[in-house]
Amino acid sequence: MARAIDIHVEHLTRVEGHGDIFFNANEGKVEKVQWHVTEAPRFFEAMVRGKSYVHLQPITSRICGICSIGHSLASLKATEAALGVEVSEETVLLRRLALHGENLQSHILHIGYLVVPDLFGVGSVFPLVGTHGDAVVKIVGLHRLANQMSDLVCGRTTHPITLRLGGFSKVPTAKELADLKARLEAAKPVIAEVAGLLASVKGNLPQFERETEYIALVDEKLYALYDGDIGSSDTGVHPVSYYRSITNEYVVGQSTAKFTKHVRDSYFVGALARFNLNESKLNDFGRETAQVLGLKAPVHNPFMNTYAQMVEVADSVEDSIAIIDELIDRGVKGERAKVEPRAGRGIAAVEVPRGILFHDYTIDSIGNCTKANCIIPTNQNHANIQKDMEALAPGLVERPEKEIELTLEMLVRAYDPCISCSTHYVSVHFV
Amino acid sequence: MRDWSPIRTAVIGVGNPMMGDDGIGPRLVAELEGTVSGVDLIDIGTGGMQLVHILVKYDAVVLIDAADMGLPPGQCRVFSPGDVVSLKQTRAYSLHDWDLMRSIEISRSLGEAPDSVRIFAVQPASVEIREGLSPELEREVPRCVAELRRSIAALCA
Repeated sequence: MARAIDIHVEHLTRVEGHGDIFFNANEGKVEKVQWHVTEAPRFFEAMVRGKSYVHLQPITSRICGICSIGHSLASLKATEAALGVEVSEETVLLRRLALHGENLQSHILHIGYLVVPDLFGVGSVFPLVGTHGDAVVKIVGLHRLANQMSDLVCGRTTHPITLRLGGFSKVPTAKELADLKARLEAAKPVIAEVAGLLASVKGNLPQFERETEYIALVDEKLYALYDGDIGSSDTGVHPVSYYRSITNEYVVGQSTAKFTKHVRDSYFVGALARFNLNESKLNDFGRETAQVLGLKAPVHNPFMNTYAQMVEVADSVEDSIAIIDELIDRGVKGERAKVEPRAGRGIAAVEVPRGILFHDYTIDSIGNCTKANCIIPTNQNHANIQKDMEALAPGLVERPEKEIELTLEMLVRAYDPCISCSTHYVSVHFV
Repeated sequence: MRDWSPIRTAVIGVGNPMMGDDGIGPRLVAELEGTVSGVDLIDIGTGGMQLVHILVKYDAVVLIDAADMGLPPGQCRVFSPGDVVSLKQTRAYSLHDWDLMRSIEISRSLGEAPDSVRIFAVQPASVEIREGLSPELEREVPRCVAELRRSIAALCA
């Protein structure tokens, strides 16, 4: 049916930050479909310039309230690389545990509070209390466990205080770790039930596929989160120092956040990229959950990012249990490497819930930061969201306007964007 | 310093100090710092669902929030969640855009809400992007603090 459609979603709901969607069609032809990022830039890189190396982590942690552990770890790793600091195996184990805590917090929050309402056809999590109270109880319980994990390892739920240069300022006791392990074990059947619930409504997600480049950290042994090389589904493995050649940031008129591209017009980062590149490194619980959800790499449906997050919830819980066992076996001593200022440059990458995160610092001989660059996952996904919209839009033209709007909103939500974090820097040139 | 602690009690300030008078909750919590003991003082800011995880720890709470009640700025009212109907139209923009009353409702549905929940509501003069309270509300802060202290005492009696 020939008609004019004019959709403007101003401030998309159930995402972090502000973004708009525009969709115009006439006589059955899409004239415009665009993803707009409207947040003000944050200028964190300028903020840390001139600051001592000791202040880089506490400041950059504040880029994001949800990924504050991941930002802290990327910042510490980059600073330590610049200063030539080697941390102990114990520190690496505790940092991996911290990162699992954040992954659990963020993924459960996104799946349970932000996406599940779409799958059940309601506007928010509140109506589900009446209709699916049991599921809401499970989700809130898992979210609480993830918060407690962050409290224990990082000192508080958000914005960690124990993660320090060279190690930890306070480490959990063996008893605290054993208690956490018991709670994680108890959570496994609950996670399996939530995965089953997601599997039962999988048919409510749009059947849409667009192959793109997937980029994530990769490791020979582990499902890479804390460390690894840069992996690309198109070009293979690259060192982290190569990151600028991967990201190739550029400015677009529709966004206050920069877009990125590598060998195609866009690339995908996040749980689905990690799953596509690292499926073979999943532990048993992660693999079982992927089977329940019917996920097998490569998955080219971006809406499945939420389901890949569910796989990672299971994988993170099982890996956390293994890490705790190892820590208890070896005894937690609170090892801390010595840190002293020196001139250097450090580049680090960490997988945070929304994808690969880069921090890059140059530090002078007295320990002050002279240059900083932080490239955030959502930043790297904006172009892919735009390209997905362009591919998805023609198939939507004949649908009712409300359905078009909802489908485009669900697409953006699937990426779990942290829009505020992504608006880090826009270069302007006055002529 | 007075100790009000027969039960696990918290005074929780809700609101965004960068939205003018919406920050009255955190502000009143700050005013109480160092003057009460046996009562946890919590600035939850715009923590949204985090409130559900905090409520489970307490037997009694006072939640301080700005509320448009059609009263002169700075007027306070103390009530229970069941006494009112929330008119807030939340679109759940993000995890910071939640309805306080709905969070209490979820906590109750989970069977873990404190036995006593009192809302200490303060009428704002203006809620807009601005750091700090409006002069109209700033003038009323000492009286709000006095009323709040009476509410805490009543809750813990």
